[in-house]
Amino acid sequence: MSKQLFGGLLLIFVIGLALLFKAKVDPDSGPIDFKEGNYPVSESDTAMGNEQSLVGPSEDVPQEMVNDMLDGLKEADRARFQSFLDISQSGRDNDPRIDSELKNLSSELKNQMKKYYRSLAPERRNERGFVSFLISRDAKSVEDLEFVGEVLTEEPCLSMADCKNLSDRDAHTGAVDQVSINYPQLVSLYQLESRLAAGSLDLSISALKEETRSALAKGARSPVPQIREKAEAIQKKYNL
Amino acid sequence: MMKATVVILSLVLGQIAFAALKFDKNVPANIQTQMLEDLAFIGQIQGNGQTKFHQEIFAQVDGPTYKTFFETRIFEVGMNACGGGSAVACVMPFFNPNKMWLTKNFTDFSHPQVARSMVVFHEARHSESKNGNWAHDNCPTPFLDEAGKDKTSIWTGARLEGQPACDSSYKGSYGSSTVMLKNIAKFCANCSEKVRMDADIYAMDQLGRISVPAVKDAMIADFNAP
Repeated sequence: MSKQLFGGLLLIFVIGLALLFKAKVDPDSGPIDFKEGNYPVSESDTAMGNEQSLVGPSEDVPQEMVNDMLDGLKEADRARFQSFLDISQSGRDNDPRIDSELKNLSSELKNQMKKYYRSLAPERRNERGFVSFLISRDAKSVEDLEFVGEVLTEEPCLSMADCKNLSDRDAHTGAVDQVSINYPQLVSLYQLESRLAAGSLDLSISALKEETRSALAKGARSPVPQIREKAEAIQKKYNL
Repeated sequence: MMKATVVILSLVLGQIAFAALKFDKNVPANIQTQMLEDLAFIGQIQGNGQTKFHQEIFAQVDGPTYKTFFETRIFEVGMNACGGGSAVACVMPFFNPNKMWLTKNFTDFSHPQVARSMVVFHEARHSESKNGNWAHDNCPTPFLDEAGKDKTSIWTGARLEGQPACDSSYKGSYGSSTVMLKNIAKFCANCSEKVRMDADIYAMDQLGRISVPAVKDAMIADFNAP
């Protein structure tokens, strides 16, 4: 057996032991009984029904506020905003309406989406990122780019569970968190870069060029290295 | 309306297709639904190409291929804290390599759909006992990025150096899920722009867990091959 394989097996064994030990010493989990359907469930697992899940309909935005947003739109945009809400709340990222109904958005519709974004809890990373994706993919005004700048200057989110507080980190799956906690910002920069690469952001309009420059400068001042480095790379690549 | 109906129908059919997955009684209904919806989403992917590394690990980019990959590795799903912290899922190969454990973070945290899917495919790879469960390597010390800075698990700290959170092969759990996502980003013909963007963003970040520069370069060459 090679030294590397032995090391790997030993590592898995140690992790397995640590997991079992943790479950055994957790006063909430009780003794382990691995018989079918009788696995240890901690207090927090069983308490789930009382918590607000971050996948599914958002309770952050009161229905009255959503109704006001819908009322502020013309009929065609109202239907598109409803589609936007359906997709955002279902978390089904592969809905084909994303690339049909939710392209070429009117400024009124984008304004309501921006309002919706600001109403969402900061921990709603995917929903917030969905809005920043739609606006930055479709950015064609100074106001849209101001919104991109606003997203890039947000206070950093510290953890998936609570943006204001650090939580225990898990090195094994931490890479997913690393992207998700910065997701709205990374999406904005990804879209800006795609637009610049495709030449679909009209930088011959000086106001748009200035606002793009301003948004990237905000990203480049981010305390989050992942965001700052991405913004700096775009600045350098496109001389902005 | 028509498109929305097609989406709902394909999700329903996808869930039926993954109905063989056995959930423990204590897995909450919302977690079961989310897992089946995510698998259904992966199960409906249609690709128009694949890279050499993808062909080697999964075969072609398409839903049925991913479904077979998952179903031949994971038969049961249970609930566990998976070591606590922000873990979303895990496998415990010494107990039962074909069982995946989910944490309440699976639905409590707001990750994009493709990111959640990446985690379960990463864990499914760990179920391969014949391959030593693709145990992770310790990240090198020091473990620096291209700019010469310490790689961290999140921006606030927790250096990865010395942690069992790297792969030296493109076939390991980090490597294979990077290959899968990068191929979805490049070749998925029926994915939304958001899914392809998400796949690309998460894949490129995950690539940072490959600790051997020559392997990482080979993966980049594989992704960029015409």
